[in-house]
Amino acid sequence: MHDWKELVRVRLSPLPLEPGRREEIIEELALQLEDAYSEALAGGASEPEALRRSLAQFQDWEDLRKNVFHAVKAAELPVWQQSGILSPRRPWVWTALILSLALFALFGFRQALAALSFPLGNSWSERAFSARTLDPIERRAIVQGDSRALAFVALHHPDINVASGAAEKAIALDSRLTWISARFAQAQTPTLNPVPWIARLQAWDPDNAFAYLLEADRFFDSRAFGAAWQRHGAVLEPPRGIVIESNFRLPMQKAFAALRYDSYARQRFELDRTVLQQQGWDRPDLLIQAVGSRPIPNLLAVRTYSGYLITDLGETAQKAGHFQEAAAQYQTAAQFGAHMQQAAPGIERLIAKGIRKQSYEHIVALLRLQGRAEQAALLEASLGDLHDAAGFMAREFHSADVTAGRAASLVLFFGVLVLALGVATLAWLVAVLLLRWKPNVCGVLNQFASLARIAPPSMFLAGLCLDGAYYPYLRHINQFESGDQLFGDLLPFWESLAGTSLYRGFWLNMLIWPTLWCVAIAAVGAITLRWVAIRRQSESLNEP
Amino acid sequence: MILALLEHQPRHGYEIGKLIAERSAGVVRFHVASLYPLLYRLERRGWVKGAWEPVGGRRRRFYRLTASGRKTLASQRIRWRSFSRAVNRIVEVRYA
Repeated sequence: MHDWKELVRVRLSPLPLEPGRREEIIEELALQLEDAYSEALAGGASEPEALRRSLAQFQDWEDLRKNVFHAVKAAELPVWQQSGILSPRRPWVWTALILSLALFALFGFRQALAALSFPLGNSWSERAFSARTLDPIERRAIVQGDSRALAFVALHHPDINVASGAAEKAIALDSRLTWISARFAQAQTPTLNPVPWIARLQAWDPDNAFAYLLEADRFFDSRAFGAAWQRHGAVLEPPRGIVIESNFRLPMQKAFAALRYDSYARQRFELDRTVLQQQGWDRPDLLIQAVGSRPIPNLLAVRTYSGYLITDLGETAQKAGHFQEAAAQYQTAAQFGAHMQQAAPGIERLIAKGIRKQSYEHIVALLRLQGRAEQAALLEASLGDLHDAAGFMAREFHSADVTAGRAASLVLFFGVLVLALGVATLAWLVAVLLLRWKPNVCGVLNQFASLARIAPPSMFLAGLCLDGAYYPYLRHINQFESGDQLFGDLLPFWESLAGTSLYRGFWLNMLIWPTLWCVAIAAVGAITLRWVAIRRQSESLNEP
Repeated sequence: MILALLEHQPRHGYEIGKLIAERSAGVVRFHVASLYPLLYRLERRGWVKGAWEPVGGRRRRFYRLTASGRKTLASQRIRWRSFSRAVNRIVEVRYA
């Protein structure tokens, strides 16, 4: 004889109802099993078969337990009484939670999460270079006599006057840091005069074309397309009319005659990397931002002046038969291009290649004109690396962009998922702990805890996916030897990430109000439906 | 359906399950696992009332229709008839 009541009691346990009601339900379900068992036996079934048929009526006891509780109490089973796969009584749910937290111990995971500040508003990066962050660094640096930290503040402080003060102190401590003056050469604020900074840089590094280019820029920027062009436009194509201005032409002459070109990219990279590491900001995106904000001379001005040398002076001299003078002009441009190409990174190198290519093509043509075909052929053969420089870079960047774009989308997707699930997990944890402490504190809380039970394991899985998607771009900043390496390895990814701005470009600008409106409508609808349901329920209960 | 089965006499759960299967000739298959939660829900709404009664030496829980349940059954019947008539009008149309 089977103890049907015990069988049901064990399978339905725990059923958090009043003891009397619980026993009634157990007894009633036990009778159902017993009746089915007896009927099967009466129908000729063997005892095991009758037992199997009887028990087959209730295949999912957990589901039955939940449904019975919901039917009797009109509420979800208390979350701590649930024994489903995602119940807080299951150790593996807590294991998933611990593993999710353990993900934060992974450097790559933290870096991937921090990467989201790029598409989600850039706020962290802006904070990193804000006055609030840099002022304490400056104060500490003054006390410690840390010239590099002061130079870092000088390069990145948003207030140009505070930055120039920090620069003065840094240079006073270590004159080898005078190159930081370049930041102020392009200042366009009435409170800071860039001229003394340019003069200081030229006096400190007189053989460098860079400071002369910065000096020339000041006139090019404001006048190349203005008065100078209007005055000289009839003689020279815009914006080349600016070369008539001695304020532009003279520093350009010095720049093109200088022995070398150095935009201090290497010094700046090393300084930024060192100070970022000192501050505990092991973030390639911050290094990209820091290094990427370095001053670059106006490349249009450089091209304008090289064009003036090659086309206006060189070709004119060539046409007039003054071959030596023409060759000298071509040579000056080519030499400047070589200096620039040798020392400058990125776009400057590309421009330098262009200048060299144009110069050498003219030299080759001039040599042929002079009947020196053999020399012309030799020179032409040695210019292989200059051909198709722009096309090569475009192809390289395009293929990198496509891959990086996909990776950036994945990182953004899983990152947003991790953030959303992280919030849900936190809320679930609070709810579950509260319900553990006070089981009957709130029905809605219990319902939420039941619904949000999916959050901890989902967060762990999303975290793993985020870590995996970001892994190919995971770097410590001390792994980079140069800005070129940094930009070559990571710039396409970070640019794609910033470009894939679901939040700022699309979501915040276009969808925030419609979403808030929908949420408000849904909330009003849910409250109304709930109110109607409660009213109907109370009406039916009050009926005679 | 359950309300209709209880209209004329009180019945216990096992009997209700059997009757649904018999009267629908097996067309409507009602899982026992769903039957009891449904009975408890009807009881909570006040449409049926359960009470233990002795039968053949042991007690059984019989469900009977309450006044509220009777009213609900009547309104549901009207709704069902008009619905089935509408469906019949659609599916039994003969084209010339």
